[in-house]
Parts: sequence; C-alpha cells; structure tokens
Amino acid sequence: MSVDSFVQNFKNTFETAQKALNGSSKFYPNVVRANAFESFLKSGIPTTKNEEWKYVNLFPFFSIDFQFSASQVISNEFAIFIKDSIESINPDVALVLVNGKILPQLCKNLDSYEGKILGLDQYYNEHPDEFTTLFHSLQLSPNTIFENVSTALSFDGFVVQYDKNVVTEKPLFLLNFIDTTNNHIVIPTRYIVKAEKLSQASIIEQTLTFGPNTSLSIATSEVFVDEQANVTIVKLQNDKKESIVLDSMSIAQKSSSTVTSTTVSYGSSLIRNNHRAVHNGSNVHTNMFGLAIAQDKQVIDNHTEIDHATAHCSSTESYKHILSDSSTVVFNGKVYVREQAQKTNAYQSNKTILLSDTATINSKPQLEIFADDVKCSHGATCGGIDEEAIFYLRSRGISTKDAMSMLTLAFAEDVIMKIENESVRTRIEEDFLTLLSNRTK
Amino acid sequence: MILEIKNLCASIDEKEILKGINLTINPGEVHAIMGPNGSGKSTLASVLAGKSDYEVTSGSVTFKNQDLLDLDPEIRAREGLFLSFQYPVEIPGVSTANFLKASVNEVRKHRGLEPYDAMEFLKVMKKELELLEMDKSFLSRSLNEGFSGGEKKRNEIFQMAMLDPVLSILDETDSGLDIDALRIVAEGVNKLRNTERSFLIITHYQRLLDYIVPDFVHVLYQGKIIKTGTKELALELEERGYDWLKSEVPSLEEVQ
Ligand SMILES: Nc1ncnc2c1ncn2[C@@H]1O[C@H](COP(=O)(O)OP(=O)(O)OP(=O)(O)O)[C@@H](O)[C@H]1O
Ligand SMILES: [Mg+2]
Repeated sequence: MSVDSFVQNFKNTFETAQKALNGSSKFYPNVVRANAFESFLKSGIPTTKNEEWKYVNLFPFFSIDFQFSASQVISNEFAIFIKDSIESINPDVALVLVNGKILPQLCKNLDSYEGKILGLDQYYNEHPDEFTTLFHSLQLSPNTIFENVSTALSFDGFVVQYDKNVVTEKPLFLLNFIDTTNNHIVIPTRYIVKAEKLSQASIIEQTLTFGPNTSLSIATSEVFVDEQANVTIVKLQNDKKESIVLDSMSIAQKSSSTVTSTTVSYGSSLIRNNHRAVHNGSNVHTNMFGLAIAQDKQVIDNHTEIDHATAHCSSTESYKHILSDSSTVVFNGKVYVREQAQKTNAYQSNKTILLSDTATINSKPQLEIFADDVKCSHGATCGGIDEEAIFYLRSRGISTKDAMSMLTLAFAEDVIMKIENESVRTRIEEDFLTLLSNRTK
Repeated sequence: MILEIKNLCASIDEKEILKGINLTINPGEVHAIMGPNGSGKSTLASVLAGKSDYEVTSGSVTFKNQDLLDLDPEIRAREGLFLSFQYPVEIPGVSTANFLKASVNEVRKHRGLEPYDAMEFLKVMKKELELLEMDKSFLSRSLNEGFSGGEKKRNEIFQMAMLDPVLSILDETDSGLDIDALRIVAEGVNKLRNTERSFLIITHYQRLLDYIVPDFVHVLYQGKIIKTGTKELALELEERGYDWLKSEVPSLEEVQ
C-alpha cells in the first residue's frame, strides 16, 4: 500500500459523498469542499522536497492502507472504552465525536453550555455572510495540504459559536473517539470557533483511538476571535502509539483580543502541528506554548506562525522539547512582522533537552521583520540535563532516575502551568512521570 | 569509628589534588579542616560525597564499616552522609518542599522507617524551619533559585536537620552568613551534636569554631593534612596565617 492508495481512497470517498448530494453541489459549503478536493488532488501528499515538510518523511507513515469510512456501528467494547475514557477525563462539558461525527447522546451538558454548536451547513443557512467570509478563509495559502482533506470531507464539520459578551465558566472538552477495530482509518475533522466581541471561552481537545489498527486524525480548525474576546485552547496530544495526528489550527484575532494556545504532545507515532495566528487589529496578544516529549521513534513536528500584520500587538511563544531514544522533534517558528506592524513586541523561545545521542532535534526559528520600531527576540537552547543538579539531588538520597525525572519535569513545568484546568495538568504530570520512569536508563 | 580515610589520593583531569589524606572520625566527634584556597578541602568533601568527576587513584575510605567509595552518592546519603555544599546549585522548577519530601522519604525508606505523609512532613518541616528562623515561603520556591548566598547556606543546614545524618560535612557553610545567621546555623549544628553524630567542618574562620567547638583541627595544604591539633590550633592560624606551617614542613615537596 502506498500514498497513491491514500489519494485514491480519498478520491473515492469524496466522489461517493458528492453523488449523495443530489444536485446541491451549488450549495456554497459544497463549492468550498469541491475546491478543497481539487486542491488536494493537485498537491498530493508532500514530500521532503517541500520546505514545510523537509524534516518529516510522511511516506513510511502512509504505507498502510487507510480507509476513510468508519463503521457506523459502535461495538460494545468501543462503547465501554468511550464511557470509561469520559469518566476518567470527567469533563463538565463535552462535545463528543465518534469516528468524526458528533454523537449527541454522549455529549455532556451541551444544552446548558454558554456556547452554541451548529453544523457547518446549518451555520451557512443561518449566517450566510459570515460563513462566506470565514469558512476556509484562513486556509488559502499555497502550503495548505491536509487542511484541504479536512475541508473537502467536512460534511460533519461544525461551528462553536460564542455570542457577544458570552463568558463561559467551564472549558469545553472536544473529545474525538476513533475506532480502528476493522481497519486503519482516517478521520478528518473540521471546525470553526467564532468568539464574538467580549466573549470568553476555553476549549480542550483530545483524540482517543481504540482498537489494534492505526488511526490518522486530520484535524483542521479556524478560530475567529473578535474585539476584546479571550480564547484559550489546549491540545492534549496523548493518543496511543497506533495513531497519527495532523493538526492544523489557524487563528485570526481582532483588536484587544487574547488567545492562548497550549499544545502538549507525547502520544502517537507522528504528530504534525501547523498552528498559526494572524493579527488584525491593535493590542492583540497571542500566547503559543508547546511541550513535546518524544520517545522511541516518535516524530513530533511543531510548525508555528505568528503573523503580526497590524501595529501595537504582541506575541509570546515558548516551546519545550524533551527527546529520548531515536525520536525526532521539529520546531519551525515563523514570526512575521509586517511593514505596518510598528510597536510589535514578539518573543519566541524554544528549549530542548536531549536524553539520548540518537535523538534528533531540528529547530528553526524564523523571524522576518519588515517594520523598524519593534521589539523581537528569540532564543533557543539545547543540551542534556545539568549534571551538577543531578549530583545535588543524588547527594540528598534521590536516585539518578528520580533525579532525571524531577529535573525533566521541572524543565517542562512552566509550559504545563500555563494550562488552567487542574485535572488536565495533573494528568499530564502523572503521564510524564510514568513515561520518564519507564525509560530504560 | 564512623569514618576512616587512609592514604586517599584523588585527581581530576589527570591533575592530582589529594595526595594521601589520612583522617579518622569517631562517633560524636567534631573535626575542623582549615587550609589555604585551592588546597583541596572541597575536593575531599566531593570525593566523600561521591562526585564522579574525581578519580580516586589510591587509598580507601571506610564509612560505618563499609567501603564508602563503592557506594553510589544516593546510597551514601541514605546511609547518613551529608554534604553541605560550598556552592549549592540552583534548580529551577523543583520546589524546595517537593524536593525535600522526596529526599527525606528516600532516606527514611532506606532506614526502614515509614515515609512521611504530606501532613506529617509539613509539620516536621515547619519545626525545623522555625529552629533555623527561616521563612516558610522558601518551601514553595524553586530550590536555591534566586536565594541569597546566606539563604542557600541556611537551606543546606535546613536539609541537614531534615535528613538526620550521622556524618555531616559542612563546606564553608559559614561563608556568606551574617552574624545572626552564623549563630543560628551554629546552634542548629550544636542541637544535633550528640555521641552518635559526627561533623567535618571546613572553614576559613576561627569564629565559627567559637560556636561549634571542635575536638580536632586539621590543616590541609597541597592535598595533605600537614598538621593536626585541638581548637587552639585554629586560634593560632587566625593570628599567624599558614606561612609558618608551610615553612615548618619544608620536607613536603621533597617527600613527594
Ligand atoms: N576540573 C578541574 N580541573 C583542574 N583543576 C581543578 C578542577 N577542579 C578543581 N581543581 C583544582 O583543585 C584544587 C583544589 O580545589 P578545591 O576546590 O578542593 O580547593 P579548596 O581547598 O576547597 O579551596 P577554597 O578554600 O578556595 O574553597 C584547586 O587548585 C582547583 O583549581
Ligand atoms: Mg572549597
């Protein structure tokens, strides 16, 4: 099996869906889908010759036979897995997707939730003008590849709408369950967050794969944050090893809005994040934090982009990576400061701890500054764990292994602390310590 | 005896620093080591604590009837050897309280004692903090990070009190302490003094020895103990410096 079969299966899936549309192909959302379909067929799966995919050879990951259509039947075992997972996450509010579709009977407290969930097509019918300006508008760059897969197949796509002045109390957990019992499976997901003026919201995303085969989650989201709105997004990427995640998030912010995105990655065999934010107004602030702990032959690739398109805005970006075994981590942090974006304050840092000689870090900060009155800084460090610190802890009776765990967690701690939700934080800390203590020293 | 060092030689990067140290410490004894800068005092302390940068080229160290040099640093600590570092390292992101809880419980486990739960631990910790007149805000701060020189030293003594060692090596714990802190630290040490616990105190100043009266004073010079005396030796060194001793052992270079 190969990349060609992936493309062929995608094509068949789209065409089957297209036939089922029964003449509604002129319906605007379907036009966007058809365009995205064509675009993906043109680009195909990127090779390492593509500058944006230089460090990650996708072809081995696509050598298995991925099916696009999941069984609609939820087996008993899968149902139990879903139930147990939700119980252990224990969210106050949850939007539950099963094989890419929202399953209302599994969702939790959505009725009383301050945000509204609408299907993409429904959203178009109710807000045609907004839809036309929003949907896929942030994804029209020449680098758009997998975003087109999600968009082409976005029949189950949805919008999370926060009306003006809406302040949510609890975070919305977006739980994406995938069943691979019958075959390797691709689940594209597509959603839009629309946070209107002065609204405040927080979303926590997690994908959970069940079954022996491999899941490929192709997730694409656009987040529109209006004036003075505040949106927090946490991506907990801790899925089992038999999974691949391609996650793309594009954020557009208006004046005086704040977005904080924190992405913690330590699951899956391959994770690729394309996270970008573009500023469109003044006093905009973007926080982008990331933490990757890679082991075995895991590949974690964080591509970020902050586009300072307007003046008087700021961004803080901090990514930390911990690598062991033969893992690979990529960090590419683009910061654009456009000519008109005077008084920009942009800070970027990425720090790496290498716990093995066979691990590979490719770190590429990429600052392109076209304005002159700006403050931009970036720093990158890479090294092992401080030997003096290890000796200090050992001299107090702590074993080398525990000392390493403590110091590694300490390194990661400031990113973890950015997550407001305590249960997610605790979960991450516990998983980290387990991962670290399982390491063969 | 608690510690017996026999003809210990150690080097770093092929440079010989310790050139045949002999020293025996019995339970309950306080030994002071003085000596000029660079004579090898901290090297001796580091070798005893188990720092792997140093290579022991010959000699032996027996600690509680075991070959000390054979033990990993953490085992030495659990067995009751404590080093108060001359320069404690700053460890950002590790809170003093969490670190110390892990440390104390490892040591307790090793000694067959029940690990403290969170409440017990807090209680014990608060008591020791009070004795050392330390503010409890230290506990939530990252270990030594941004601590003043004196605060770092107090934190070392605080850890010593928490870990209840049988042999404590204090490497210039008095340097950087203000007069009050010096008294508090010395009182902390004196409270721990009993017929079981021993101390090896490295210092440049006789003043500390006014508070913690040593049983023996040794002078370390160029990697060797060149003179041993009682507390009066410290007074003499304070007055006369080290030069008279250097000339008293002219044979030192020749002997090598
Ligand atoms: N990594 C090293 N490479 C070479 N020489 C070293 C190294 N580390 C220590 N030394 C040397 O070993 C000698 C002894 O150092 P040590 O720190 O033990 O002295 P000290 O007696 O504690 O001095 P002080 O009173 O200044 O603390 C010094 O000359 C020092 O420069
Ligand atoms: Mg010294």
